[in-house]
Amino acid sequence: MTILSIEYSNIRKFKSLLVKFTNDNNVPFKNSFVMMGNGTGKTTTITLIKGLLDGSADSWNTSAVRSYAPVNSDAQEGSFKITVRFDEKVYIYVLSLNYVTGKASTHCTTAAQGGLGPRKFPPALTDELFTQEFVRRFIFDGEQAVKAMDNTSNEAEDAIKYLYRLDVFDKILQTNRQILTAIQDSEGAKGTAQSVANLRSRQAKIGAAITRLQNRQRDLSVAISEKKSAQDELETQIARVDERYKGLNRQKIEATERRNGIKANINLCISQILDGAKSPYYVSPLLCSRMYAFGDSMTKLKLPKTISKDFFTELAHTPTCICGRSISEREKAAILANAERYLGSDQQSVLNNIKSCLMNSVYDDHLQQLFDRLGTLMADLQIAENNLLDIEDKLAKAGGEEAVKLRTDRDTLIAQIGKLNQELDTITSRDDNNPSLTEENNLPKAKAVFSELEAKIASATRTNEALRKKELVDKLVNEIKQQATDRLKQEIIEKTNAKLKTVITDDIIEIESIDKYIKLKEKTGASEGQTLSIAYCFLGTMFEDSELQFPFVIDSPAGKMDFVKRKAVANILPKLFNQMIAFVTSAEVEQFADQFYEEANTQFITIIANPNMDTIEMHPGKEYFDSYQRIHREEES
Amino acid sequence: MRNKIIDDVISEIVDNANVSHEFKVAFKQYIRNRFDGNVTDSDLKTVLNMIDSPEDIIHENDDSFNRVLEYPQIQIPLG
Repeated sequence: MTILSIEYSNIRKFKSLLVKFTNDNNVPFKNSFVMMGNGTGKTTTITLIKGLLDGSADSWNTSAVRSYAPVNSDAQEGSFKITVRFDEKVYIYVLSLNYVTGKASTHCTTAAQGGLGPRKFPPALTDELFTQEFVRRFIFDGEQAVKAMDNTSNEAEDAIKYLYRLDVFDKILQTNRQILTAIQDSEGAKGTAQSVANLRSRQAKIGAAITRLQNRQRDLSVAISEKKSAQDELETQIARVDERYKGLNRQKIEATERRNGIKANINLCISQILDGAKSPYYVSPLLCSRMYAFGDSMTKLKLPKTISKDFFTELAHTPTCICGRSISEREKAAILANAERYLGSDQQSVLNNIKSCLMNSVYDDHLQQLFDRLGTLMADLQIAENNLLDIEDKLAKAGGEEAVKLRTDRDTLIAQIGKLNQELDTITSRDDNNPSLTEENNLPKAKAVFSELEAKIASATRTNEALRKKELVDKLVNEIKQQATDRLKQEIIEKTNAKLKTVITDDIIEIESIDKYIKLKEKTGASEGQTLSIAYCFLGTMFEDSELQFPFVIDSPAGKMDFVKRKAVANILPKLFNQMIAFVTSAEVEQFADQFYEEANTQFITIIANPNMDTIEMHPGKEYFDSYQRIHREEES
Repeated sequence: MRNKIIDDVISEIVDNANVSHEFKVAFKQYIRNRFDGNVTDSDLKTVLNMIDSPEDIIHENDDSFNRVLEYPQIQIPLG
């Protein structure tokens, strides 16, 4: 798939604008750099592209839709179009925004057929592919990159799942379950009709709860993502107001960096504590001494040797028993026959491993030290948060009514996001020790109860065989999914590490494992520039192995990278993606976008707000792009 | 089916399962078709019907740790 153009009509400051990503012969450029000045709608553009391609725009709420209405115009409708090419066929996706009704709708038309129809994709891709999860892996932003390294996020694991389409296996499991349910519904009962009816009614109730919770989970994810975008917009506006007060603004930036640094250290400390707690003898000296004593008792009792088959086999071949009596042929035969009742070598080795672990229990206080460090970090975080709040207050007072309103709106959004996240956590938590989680508010619990009821229904009806068939298929599919994931991860780690060596030359950065997030070898963390580099190499590896070609659309690719890494990433990005469309700020040109100035297959576009700030102008060409960035890079850095 | 690693794993796991040859061929094809978006629900029904008997569905989990725990009559021999 390649993106040929995007087109805005009556969206915020865009009255009418067509941005082409092709040359005069309609051949797509390999690299397109679109520089958008502050407030021209860079983040808006990324949100529109995502909302249109994954169809999430259809469920935008009234205020979200109306937020795209032009300010100084009475336009009642707006639209955003993306023209793409799959193989040789052109598809035009249209997002229509009705500012009167507050409704958004997505449609599609093909160049050959014309006329607007439902959003659809070529048969080879299937509609199932264009989920929110999939689209956000190639319509990319820095936040997504940071998530891949965040130990509280599943981003790295999810990226593998969706880019390699391992979710297909989940869909097979779902179909398998539906088939069993249909068989159970059509088969007669052998238990009492009433008992089967009761079980079915309970299962239907849990099934409805699962559907409700899944829908709510989806709605919450969309709402959180929308509110985060709105928060980003407000942060940009706040930053612009704050820039007027240079001293305070500098203090705010420093305080934010300090706060974020402490948060990163807290996350790291928690992950180290969780790792340490896997060896229980570190938890307390008392537990450690009891574990050792247990192992010591096993040694004194010569366990597991004395209860093993081998022990009796050896004993049978000795002339005298350990009790002093002699062993004749009769006793020998009896001992050998009964030896089978005792432990085999595989079971012995399990017990030997346990014993060896117990005997190796040596307490040291590193876990305690980590807990102490966590306590200190939490206190530091409180101080850093208070300091930041204090500076924010001063900036709000300095900025007057506008600054206060922006901050109030932002804080309201943060509180709303917090509440939504809390609800989402309740739905998705796998914490078995939390008594407040029930099958009514928690998906894993609801699914477990659903499976229990399924087994009960099967045994109460004549569908046991169907259930066993379903379980066979479930077992195979789960094994395939697990093994495929493990092997893909291994391959991705090897290839990503090879790329990292060429991108990060001033440090040794290697991925050790991918278990929900990317874990680095012998490293406690990475700088922001390194994080972005790792994310690109990781994503690039996955795109490289995919037979489906997708463009890579990215918001602020160089972000906070230092110049050395910018050059390295500029060197590697074209090798990773077939088509790259980068939305950049003027601060990202030096040592990044300018590295592409001599590339033949690259275009540069500059989009700016005209002086009276109510419309947008587009300037194609490298010369304007370069001169604009020279003038404006300081103010946007 | 597009990714070689996934395709290889499908073949390995299904080929090593204790099921009929007919089921293996049909199930592998079903998964590949599912990746290509080229299946209906009834295709899986047809594949499920190829599982001959409950004997095909012996649980093969080799959970030796559980077996140790369940092992009967562990006692210290007195001679």
